[in-house]
Amino acid sequence: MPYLIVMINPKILFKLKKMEFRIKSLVEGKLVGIHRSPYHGFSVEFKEHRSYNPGDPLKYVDWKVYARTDKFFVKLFEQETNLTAWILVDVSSSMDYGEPRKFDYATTLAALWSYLLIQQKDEVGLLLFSDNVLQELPPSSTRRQLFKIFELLDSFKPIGKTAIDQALHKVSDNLTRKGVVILISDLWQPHDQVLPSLQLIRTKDNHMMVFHVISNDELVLPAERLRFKDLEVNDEILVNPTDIRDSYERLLKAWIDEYRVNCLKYQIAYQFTPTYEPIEKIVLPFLSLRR
Amino acid sequence: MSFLAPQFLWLLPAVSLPFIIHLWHRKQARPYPFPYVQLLKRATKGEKAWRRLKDILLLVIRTLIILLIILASARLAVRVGNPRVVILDDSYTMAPYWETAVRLANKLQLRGEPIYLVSGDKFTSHVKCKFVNYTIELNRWRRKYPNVDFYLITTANKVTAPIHGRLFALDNELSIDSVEGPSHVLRANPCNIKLYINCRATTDKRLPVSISCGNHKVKQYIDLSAHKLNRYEYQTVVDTPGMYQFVFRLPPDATPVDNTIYYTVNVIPSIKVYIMGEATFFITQALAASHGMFVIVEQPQPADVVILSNITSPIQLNKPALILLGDKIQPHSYSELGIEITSMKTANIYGTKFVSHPITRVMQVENIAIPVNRYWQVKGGNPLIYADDGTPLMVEVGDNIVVPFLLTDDYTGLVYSPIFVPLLYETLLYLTKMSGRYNFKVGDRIAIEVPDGRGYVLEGDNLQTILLPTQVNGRWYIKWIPESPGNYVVRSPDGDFKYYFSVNYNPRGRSTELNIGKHAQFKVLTRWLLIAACLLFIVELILI
Repeated sequence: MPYLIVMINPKILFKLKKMEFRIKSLVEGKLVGIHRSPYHGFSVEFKEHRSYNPGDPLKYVDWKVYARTDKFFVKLFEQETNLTAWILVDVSSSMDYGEPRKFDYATTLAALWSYLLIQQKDEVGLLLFSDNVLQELPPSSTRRQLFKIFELLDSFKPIGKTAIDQALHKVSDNLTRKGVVILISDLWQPHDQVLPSLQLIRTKDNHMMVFHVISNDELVLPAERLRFKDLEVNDEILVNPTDIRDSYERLLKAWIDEYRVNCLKYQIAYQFTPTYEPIEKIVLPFLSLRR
Repeated sequence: MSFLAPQFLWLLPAVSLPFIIHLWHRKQARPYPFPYVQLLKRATKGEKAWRRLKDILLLVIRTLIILLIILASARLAVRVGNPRVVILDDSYTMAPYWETAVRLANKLQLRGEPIYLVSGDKFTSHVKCKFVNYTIELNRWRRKYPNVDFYLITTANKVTAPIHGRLFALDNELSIDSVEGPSHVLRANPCNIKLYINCRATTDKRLPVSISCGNHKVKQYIDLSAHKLNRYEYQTVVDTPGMYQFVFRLPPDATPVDNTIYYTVNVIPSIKVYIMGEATFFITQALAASHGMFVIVEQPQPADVVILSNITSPIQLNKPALILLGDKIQPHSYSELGIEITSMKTANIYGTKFVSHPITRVMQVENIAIPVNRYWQVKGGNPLIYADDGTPLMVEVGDNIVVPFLLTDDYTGLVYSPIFVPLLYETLLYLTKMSGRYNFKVGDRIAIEVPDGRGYVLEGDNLQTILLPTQVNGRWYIKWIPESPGNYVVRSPDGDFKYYFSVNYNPRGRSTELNIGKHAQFKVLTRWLLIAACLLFIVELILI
């Protein structure tokens, strides 16, 4: 909660309040909401006509079309429902880096998403992970859930190694209906371990969003000769950053591009999230004005 | 390869500086937490080999630069040929061709190499070998220095035996039959030396006479008339102790051995001799006959002899002195000397027995016959020698020795006495406070024990300096190496300590070792080393 206050301008928050998050794919919700459902219901949202088949309720026969074409057509309506979103926040030690800290940025982003989704009556679940799932908050759309999320995010500290795949597998098991998975991580895990898990989420027709949080200090290495010590594993290297700057930047770009391209391939929304960017600027592309 | 300035090799540990700086720099890198070191490792993978190679290259280059600079400072040189020794016949038969010979020698001589002189003349000490044995000496050198080229420059008629190396023979022209004159030890100072040269010249010539003493060399000339055998007188005065040689540059058919006369002029301890009463001829004769002493007696007011009875003012006895009691004195108290002469005593002291004494250094002499039967009774002082009846024959008063013999013409045999003259001599030596160590030579390492560690004044004929003692095993010593002969004294600033000694010319100071030079046969690589260092520096800049 404090980061939400600190990092988000209240004016922006007010503006975001007027916006809503809609997904184009279908989700299966329990309540009536703003999202498209694969189920046809009694909603007023007309979708299409189809030929009448014996056994179809007569009340859905479009008589006006019959009068014009002398054929029976049935009107199909689209059901609107709420969605279930899982927000996965990487709380590994590697997130404890940069200015501002990647961890702070990630928790703030998670808090903002929770706020936005619960605002529009969507269910939000939170999963904090590092080398395994550290904390799990089942989805709920209540106001109380929002405060639980804030409290949880605020009380946590970065610890352990990054194991995104395990968290994704866990969420995949948890998702009984089609929903949204929001992954907020620095993605410092080899691609071959992470990408199959992302693909697994997508195979279940879930909507997937990946926020690749990265610090400016990772993008631009410091100038002096340093003994770099790994935050997660006991590993170090003595490097003069000036000597490897080019190759490092090349490798980092390749690393990011690998995630970006594969996410595109699996129809996963990938958002490069440098911590120097204002948080609302990261979120805005996913929102639209409320109707 | 060789180093002409090897003292700079002490800087060699500096070669390790780049390694030390490298290690220090490595140690200095501060730890920096980073999220994903694997990516850095991957980034360094490509660079690593080149980076490591570059590091090693830079390290090697920097080490090499320092090494090259040190080697250049140490004047690394490579041998480019055999060392060359030019030997020039320095005998008189070379006189007419001397300039030519020297020119030739200079032409043959490589830079920095000395020219060695040989001579056929007797008494040679300034040359490396005597001419009569030059083949032996040359062959000895040849054996000792097998990689040396010897060049001998001499006249053709002297080449009597095959020599190694090259020979440069020159023609002859002028002759001296003989040079006459005493050739013995003289005493300083000054010393009048007179020589006669029987010389025959084919033309009117100026005969060069080279007088050398140590490093000092003077050239004079005698005008010779043509076609006459003349006797020329040559006279000179020397006033400095040392070994003098008078070298006459001779014509070829002269007898070479006659062409050099040597004199050794020694330093004699300068002791003032005071004669109380009347100084007789026999006293001075006795002093003069004392072995190794040089006495100048001048009347009426000589420098070294003072008749006390004629002096009204006190004697300034600032140096050790010998005081002899002469004739015609009266009993008197000499307060300035600290003695009193009471009465004349007559005694037969034949058979005087001297026992071992540090002054006389006579161990045991019995049944001697000193023709002295009258002497003064002396009160005061420290009696050193007694006659057999207990009468003091020698009294020490402070730095002075008083001999109360009554020396008159009655005792004509005094100067021939086997005891008295050595007694005087030893007494004089004792007065110099050197007790057997008086006779230092030029180049000797002198260590004089002094009471404490304060500065002491060293005074000589033309020298006055302050020396600081060094402590060895709890004792203080003044250490000094004399460079010129003369009389010296080491004294404390307040004058309560005095040490007198003399330094003589050292005729054996020269060695027959050849100083095979380090410069001539080597090519110094300093310039190339510095150029290489500069090139490496440029490479380093490019690599950085």
